[in-house]
Amino acid sequence: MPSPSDPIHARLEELLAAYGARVKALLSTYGLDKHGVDPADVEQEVRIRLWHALERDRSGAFHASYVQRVVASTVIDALRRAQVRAAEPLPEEDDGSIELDVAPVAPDRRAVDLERMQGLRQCLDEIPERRRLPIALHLQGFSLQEIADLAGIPSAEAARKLVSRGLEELKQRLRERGMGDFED
Amino acid sequence: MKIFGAAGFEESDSEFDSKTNAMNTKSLSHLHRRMTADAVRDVDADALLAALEGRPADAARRTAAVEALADSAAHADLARMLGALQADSETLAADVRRVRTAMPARVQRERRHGHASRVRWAAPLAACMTLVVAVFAIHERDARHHAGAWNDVAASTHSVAQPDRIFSTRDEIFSSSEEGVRHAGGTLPDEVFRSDFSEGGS
Repeated sequence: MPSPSDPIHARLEELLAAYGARVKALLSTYGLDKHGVDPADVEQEVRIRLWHALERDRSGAFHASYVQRVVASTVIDALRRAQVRAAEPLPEEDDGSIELDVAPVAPDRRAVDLERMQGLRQCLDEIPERRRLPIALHLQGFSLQEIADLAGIPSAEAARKLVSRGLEELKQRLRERGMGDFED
Repeated sequence: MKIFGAAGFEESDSEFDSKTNAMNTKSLSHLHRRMTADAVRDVDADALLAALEGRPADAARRTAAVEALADSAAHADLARMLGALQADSETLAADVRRVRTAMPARVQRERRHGHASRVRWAAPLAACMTLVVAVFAIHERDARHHAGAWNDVAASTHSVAQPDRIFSTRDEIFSSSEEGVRHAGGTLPDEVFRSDFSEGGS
């Protein structure tokens, strides 16, 4: 690796800094900070790992797939650490809970939510695997084509049929449990 | 006549109802994401990327990765983020390759420049050296030529003083036939034919 005063070194640092800033911004955009991931920590870790890779293999090709893998593994590690932190007991004045998508809810509503979540879990578990996976991916926000690619379904149209039938079945089961009607 | 304002309010009400439903977690998607918010699976980054990019991977690891996407809101968010980052990663990789290839090219250019400079200096230097060697060689040849002429002169002068050895009377092969002459000159006669048999031939 060239010396820090070398223009090549400076240019590589500049590139990694710009990329790190982009990673940090996207972590917040896609809500990973709400899962206990610190975007600044991940940005720094990604830059360090990429820099080490550049130093380690100076003549090797630097592929986009490798860069993506570095980001993926860094975020997965950060999620794992966040999970460990969440499992640790916290001070009483700070409940440390991570709120997702919605504003903080009152205790009674939280109890209702927990009951509904348990019901949803049970209903999903009762659905055959062939339909359960496409439904779960759909509920996580993946498109029909993405569902087809991920679940090994021949086409987006086939995925649409599986998701549609599966959702009807899921809603029916939820109704039978007395949980009312749900939107997709 | 429809009043845009009223229509706007109607739409706003409908949007409000939709948001209220979401707040009440009557949306399956919201409820499912809340349910899977804290679920973090131990997933392999390679397998996750292989599943997202449609690359072949170990079946068990790939299945685990896809199930992690389905059952963990965090991993699903990570997948979407990686999709958005793909173009930036490709740009970074291309830029790094460009910077890295520019470095050896520059070094090579500098090396070529240095070599060319040396060649520029070496050519006149070699020419000068050749010239010097040529001048020296010519000088040596002339000197040798002059020296040879003087030697010839000296040799011709010396030949006058010395007798011809080939036909000189000192020739030992025919010396026996000239015994008398050599006796006269003080040279020893041929001993083979000069043995004295008078004392019994011993």
